[in-house]
Amino acid sequence: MIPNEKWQWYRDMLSVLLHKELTVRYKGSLLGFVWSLLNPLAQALVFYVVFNIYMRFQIEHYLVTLLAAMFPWQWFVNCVNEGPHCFSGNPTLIKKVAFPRQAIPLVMNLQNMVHFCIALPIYVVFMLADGLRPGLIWLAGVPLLLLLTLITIYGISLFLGSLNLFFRDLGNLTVILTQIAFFGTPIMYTLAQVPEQYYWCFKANPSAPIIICWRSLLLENSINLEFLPFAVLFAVFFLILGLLCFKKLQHRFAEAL
Amino acid sequence: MSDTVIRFDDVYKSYPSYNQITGGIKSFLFHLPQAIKELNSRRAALEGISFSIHKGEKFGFIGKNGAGKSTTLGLIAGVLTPDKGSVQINGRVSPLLELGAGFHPELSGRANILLNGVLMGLTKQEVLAHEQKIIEFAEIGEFIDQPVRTYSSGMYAKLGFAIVANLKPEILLLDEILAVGDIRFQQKCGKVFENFKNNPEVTMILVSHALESVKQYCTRAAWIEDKKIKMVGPADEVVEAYEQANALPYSAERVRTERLRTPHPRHKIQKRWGGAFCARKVASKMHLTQKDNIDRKI
Repeated sequence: MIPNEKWQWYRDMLSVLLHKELTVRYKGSLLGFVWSLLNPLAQALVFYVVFNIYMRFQIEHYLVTLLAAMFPWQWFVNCVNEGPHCFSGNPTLIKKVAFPRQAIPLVMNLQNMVHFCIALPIYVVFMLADGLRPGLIWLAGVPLLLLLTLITIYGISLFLGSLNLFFRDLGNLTVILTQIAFFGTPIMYTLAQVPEQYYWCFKANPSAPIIICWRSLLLENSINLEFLPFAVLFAVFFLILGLLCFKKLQHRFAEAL
Repeated sequence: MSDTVIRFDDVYKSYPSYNQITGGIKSFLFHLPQAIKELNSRRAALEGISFSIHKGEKFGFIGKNGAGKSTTLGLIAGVLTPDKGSVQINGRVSPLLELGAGFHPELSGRANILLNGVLMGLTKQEVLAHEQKIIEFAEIGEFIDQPVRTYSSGMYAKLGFAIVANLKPEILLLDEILAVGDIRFQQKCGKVFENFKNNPEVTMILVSHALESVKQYCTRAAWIEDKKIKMVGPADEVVEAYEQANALPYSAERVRTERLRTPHPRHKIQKRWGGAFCARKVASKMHLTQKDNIDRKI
């Protein structure tokens, strides 16, 4: 096959699979896509009530601050939690169809990315309502962070998905780890509240740098140069880890299901 | 000599025999020595298979359940990889091992045509060009816009077959699917197979227990028995030899010898558990001889 044709096919396959995932996800539910928004919004509201009203956190624009981290987090954590099941949840695709299987987690990640992208305008509405404005830097920052997040979660999904076929506990373990990661990432609190001597904790936590970068972009219209390199590092690390793991194990996928 | 599209060279394939491993990390750690042993112990499915299939040939695989036919098909499609030996494929293999594999139950038939076609390696444009033909062929009427989960199993298979029949891969793999749908549709399928048979561009590989169809549509066939190829040759000869070897009704004499020859799973248990099952072993033998006596009387 001519490489150009193959490339065309690859794009078509991804778009058809993505379209499938998007239509299937909320099929039969009345609110459909709105559910993707309601989840982070409800969570943000709960934190807002607890921390801002009951506990009197002194943070300006607290609700918008929460949302600036909550929307990207939702995308990140959905993908990581679905990651272990991306291969084991599609036994017929693995066992009965020969096609590039690495497309399965990619499509899952892209599907969640689409939901995040649709949530962004909603976030902007909240911003404007609170007297904040998105800056021009978004034009460069948003694509950059989209790509970085995508690479990170793609690597993680590939890694977890491949391993989970052989160790089925990973799904449950992942849910616990993401819960810990949620509290270890500045989402309901801000980076400024944490003494600088503990910043290394965030640099060691794979989910923290990317979420910190998202918030500083979406809320402060700036790119956090202290944490960006770590986000890049984690992205590259997970991509390599995921690809290696997938490559090593994929010839045994059909046997394991 | 026509060019070879599929060549198997001394292919070995085995499957892992898990117990502890699928049990997850906990049981893996608790039974570590056993589990590690198990990682290495594998159940053989194919032992040293060699054959080649040429372009335009219609090739059938026959054999008992569990003999290794579907494993062979999986290796051709590239879903499985061999442990040892080489598998060479030249051409576009239809990667679907089952009709409707990859269908999503929530999507409409129309959307599933596109999905299936793309999974088969065609671009969107190519699939859409054939869409109308597929829908007409499948004869499922307005169900084409209903979710596939509402289909009857016959309609499901009909749509699956319509896709495969109209998208024409170079190498077609078919696993047990000749009798699809109602009589009318079966006849239509028969016609399609006749067309394929006469088309030198299409290589067709069939795994089936429907021996008549293998005779009818295949030019050559291989008989797989006990993980090895027992016979390769013209389809009707292989089918006849297979039929003779496995023909029913059994004579009493054959039943007896075969039963004694093939190790019953129970014998394996006896080996593992020592004498614990001895009493039962005797009992089962008595049962056997008694039954044989009855058979002989008849």
